[in-house]
Amino acid sequence: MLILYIVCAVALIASVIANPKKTLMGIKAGWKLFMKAFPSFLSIILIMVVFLYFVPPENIVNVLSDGNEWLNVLIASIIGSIIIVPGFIAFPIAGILKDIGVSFGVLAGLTTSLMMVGVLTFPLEKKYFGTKFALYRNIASFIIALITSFVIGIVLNGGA
Amino acid sequence: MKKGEKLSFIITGIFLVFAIVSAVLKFDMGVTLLKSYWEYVKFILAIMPGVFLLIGLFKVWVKDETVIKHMGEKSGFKGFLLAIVLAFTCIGGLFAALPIAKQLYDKGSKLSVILTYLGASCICRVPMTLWEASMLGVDFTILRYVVSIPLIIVSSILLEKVIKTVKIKEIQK
Repeated sequence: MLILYIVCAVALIASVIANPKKTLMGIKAGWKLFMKAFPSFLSIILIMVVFLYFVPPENIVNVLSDGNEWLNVLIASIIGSIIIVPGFIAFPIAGILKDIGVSFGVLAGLTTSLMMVGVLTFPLEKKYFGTKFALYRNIASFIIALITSFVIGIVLNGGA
Repeated sequence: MKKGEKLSFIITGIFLVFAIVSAVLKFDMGVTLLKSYWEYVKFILAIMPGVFLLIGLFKVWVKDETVIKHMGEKSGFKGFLLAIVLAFTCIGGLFAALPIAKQLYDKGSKLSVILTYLGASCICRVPMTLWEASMLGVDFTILRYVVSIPLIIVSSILLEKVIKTVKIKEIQK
């Protein structure tokens, strides 16, 4: 986060030196875009928080620790698609799952689809690029997540 | 104010009232929810001003022609490469990547490059990668990159075609 604001400061100073008027225009444009996006952020975060409250990620462990490996990868990917968890929560959980013996393929399915597919962020994506774009991109991402996890499962676990 | 924005405010308002009432009544669920909600909002509020400042400056300084040249229809493979490099630096996930992608698109970047940027910004962000590698191992992370990045590029090119055909059909109707 520090890096972000260092970049911002440098960009802002350079911009002011180059053209103060244009800088002000840029700040205004950024502010306007921010105000347009902010309300959706608020409600999507809310949905996320409520969802995580009722379905704590820790519970996923029970579902994924036994049964068929490929099926588990699929389930993990579906769970990952529905919930949106920021990295600072997702990876510690993935670390715990790994320690208790969940396979790499399942972990990959969970983390990759967590990051790439967003059922809960769908409304936001739709707002920016339209329904079709959001729909196709999420479906494609889901397939990519599945393929990636199968490959990781095969390579790192030596097959299912 | 648009309908969607209004709905967002109404939902958030109801939640806040619920949270305050539960705090007064010492009802655990509401308090817990409010606490975690605030954690996320804090994170968003900390990052977004910086992200949107950069978007604003980008909007006034970078010419359309520049984006078209490097990420437009005729940019070839370089456009994808640029999208991935840009994605590496992204923080804040989709919340930041979407407005940035929109800005690039408005300035003439081609659809497949936008799709690659979004896909890559989901999985290639540097801070997240470091975290992942420390939790799940370096070979896990490297393997995930090697498999998923080519897939993202290929699927972006395919999706561009599909989405374009859809749009053309819509116009013909």
